[in-house]
Amino acid sequence: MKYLILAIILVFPGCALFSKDKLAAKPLVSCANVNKTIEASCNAAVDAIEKANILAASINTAIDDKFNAKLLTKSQAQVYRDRTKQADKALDEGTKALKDANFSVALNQANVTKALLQALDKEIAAQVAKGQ
Amino acid sequence: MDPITLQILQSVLLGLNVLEAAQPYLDKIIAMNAAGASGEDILAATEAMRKQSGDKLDADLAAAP
Repeated sequence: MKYLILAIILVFPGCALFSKDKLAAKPLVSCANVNKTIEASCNAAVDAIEKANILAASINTAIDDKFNAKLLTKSQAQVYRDRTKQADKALDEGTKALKDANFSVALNQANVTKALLQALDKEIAAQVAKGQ
Repeated sequence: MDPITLQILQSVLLGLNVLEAAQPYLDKIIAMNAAGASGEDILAATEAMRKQSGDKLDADLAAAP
């Protein structure tokens, strides 16, 4: 139990996709604002979009790897790809919202997409496990 | 703790199965940060990672019978 607690303490700060640490070391120049609340909203939205982008890329890569390893059929992989295309659309809209300084919309798009991708990740893993 | 153990723990604790696939992307961002990349560069890089991974998957699916 002591080791499990230690592991949790060690692991959570180190997981860049889900930690509260920002992915990028430097903020966007365009986020700079005399109003620090607006600046913080901008930075949070950028970070959420960046992490969701990497999550989408990771899931695309995982689908591709599993398809090439014949752990997923073409039709299964295509269905999962259609779902990551929905994520693409939402993240493109989120990125546009960032550029339009609509940070709450951008953050919401990133969070909705993250939830969608996490559910997809579990489905893919279950499908692969079922096929083995 | 060796990196493999750490990765397994991350998978279990976070319930995420794609950490192996995520690692090269995270490594690239870490390298970009270390090289002093701007916030704009990092945002553009993550967008490119998403689009390129989708394009590769689309190409592999299209090429398969």
